[in-house]
Amino acid sequence: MKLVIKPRKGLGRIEIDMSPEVWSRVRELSERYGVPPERIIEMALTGDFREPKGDLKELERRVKELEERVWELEREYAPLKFKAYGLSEDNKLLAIELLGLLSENSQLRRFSGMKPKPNRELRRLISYYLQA
Amino acid sequence: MTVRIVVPREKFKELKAEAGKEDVNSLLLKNLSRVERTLMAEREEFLTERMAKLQEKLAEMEERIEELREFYEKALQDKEIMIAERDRLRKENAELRKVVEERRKMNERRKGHEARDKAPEGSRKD
Repeated sequence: MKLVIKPRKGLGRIEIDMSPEVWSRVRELSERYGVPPERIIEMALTGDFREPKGDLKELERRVKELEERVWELEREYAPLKFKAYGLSEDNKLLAIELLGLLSENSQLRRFSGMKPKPNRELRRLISYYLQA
Repeated sequence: MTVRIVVPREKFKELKAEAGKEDVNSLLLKNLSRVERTLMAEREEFLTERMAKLQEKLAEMEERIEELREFYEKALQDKEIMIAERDRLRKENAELRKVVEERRKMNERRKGHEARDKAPEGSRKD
């Protein structure tokens, strides 16, 4: 595998044949870490190195666990939201029906000479679901 | 196949000054293990950021699900209350309609009697 190195500014180039050992190691790292081979060679030549601080495998495991937990919750959330929406719509229809029944009830009570019932709690529920 | 890379001018000069082309190969080989450690450090940084985001998202999802569950439970109770109230009102209204109808009939009968009582003597047929 041929390697051509050029300066960022200015002229000139270095051409070398990479040894099979180097190229195979570069490809191995490229595949393992999902980084293009060019970047690996660039890093090796420019020498801006860093050291990991902790246990990478343990970190990978914890992130995977968290991803699974979030995914589980997302799967739980969607059908629950759908059910809650359906229930809210059922309650809205019931609220409309109750509004009619309450209005009829007030009228009938008036015609029967009875005192109207305030039904405050029920009216509060009705207005909540009518706004939902 | 050729791999082309661009390095800073200073680094290029250093590499050019290396004795022979073989030296670049040995430099690469020598540094690849340190490159791997650097890639591990980068991955570590990425995972640490991802973990923080996931923890934030998890807390947010847990809160949203809890709120939704509470809403659902409450809506279920409200539905039962509203169904019971609907049945009660239907029954009460049906009974009230009977009472109103009864009162209407009574009023009509009374009006009929009053009209008959007020009518002049000669106009009565009975």
